[in-house]
Amino acid sequence: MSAGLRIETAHFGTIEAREDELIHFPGLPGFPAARRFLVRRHDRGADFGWLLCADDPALAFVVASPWRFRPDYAPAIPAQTLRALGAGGADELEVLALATVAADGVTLNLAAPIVIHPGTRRGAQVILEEPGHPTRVRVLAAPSAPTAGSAR
Amino acid sequence: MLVLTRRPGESLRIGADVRITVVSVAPGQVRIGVEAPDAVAVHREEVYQRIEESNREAARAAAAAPLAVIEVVTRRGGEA
Repeated sequence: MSAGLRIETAHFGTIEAREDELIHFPGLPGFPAARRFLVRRHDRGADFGWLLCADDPALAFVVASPWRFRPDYAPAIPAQTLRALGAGGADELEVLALATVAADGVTLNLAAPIVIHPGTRRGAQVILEEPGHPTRVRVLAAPSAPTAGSAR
Repeated sequence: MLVLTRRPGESLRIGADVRITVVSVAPGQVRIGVEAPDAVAVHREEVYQRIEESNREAARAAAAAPLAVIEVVTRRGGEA
């Protein structure tokens, strides 16, 4: 039995979710009180989805699978994180990158991916220790059709 | 801020399950060991702050983006 839950979102109005769909985080850097999230994808095969906070209706992130844009991305998930999520190995985890959507394009934060264990429904944002993973990797230039100069 | 004096090899306890040890001291540099539960993430302050700022920017951008932009981005690669 799973209680229903309503999340008021800025962009999609009210979203209904089941308690057992929620992923539990120990907060995120910058958002320590944000602990329960919901992952929503639009269409099958879409490049981007949403990480919606059930504790703060105003808080939502655009997310993407980093491998859609960087097939060679190889984050080293620390053993400590695997244990905290109840994962036996990194291959059990779903990995998402937080996207920043701006008028001039979309960047992904590959320095601190979101990792989720679908079984335990626990998640965390991992701050990777190894160098070579920037916080702003540009993956799309000007995604927004309605920029200056385009027909409206 | 609580300030304590410790020598190399000496430790501090924070609560029941965090221990901070001064491993070595050199001019201009201190090596610190941290023992903490798996769920407690330990990071250099400046690294953590960079991720905080990146997260805030991502959240601001998602909240401020016009719906049209959001639609384009989130539907890209979909059925089209």
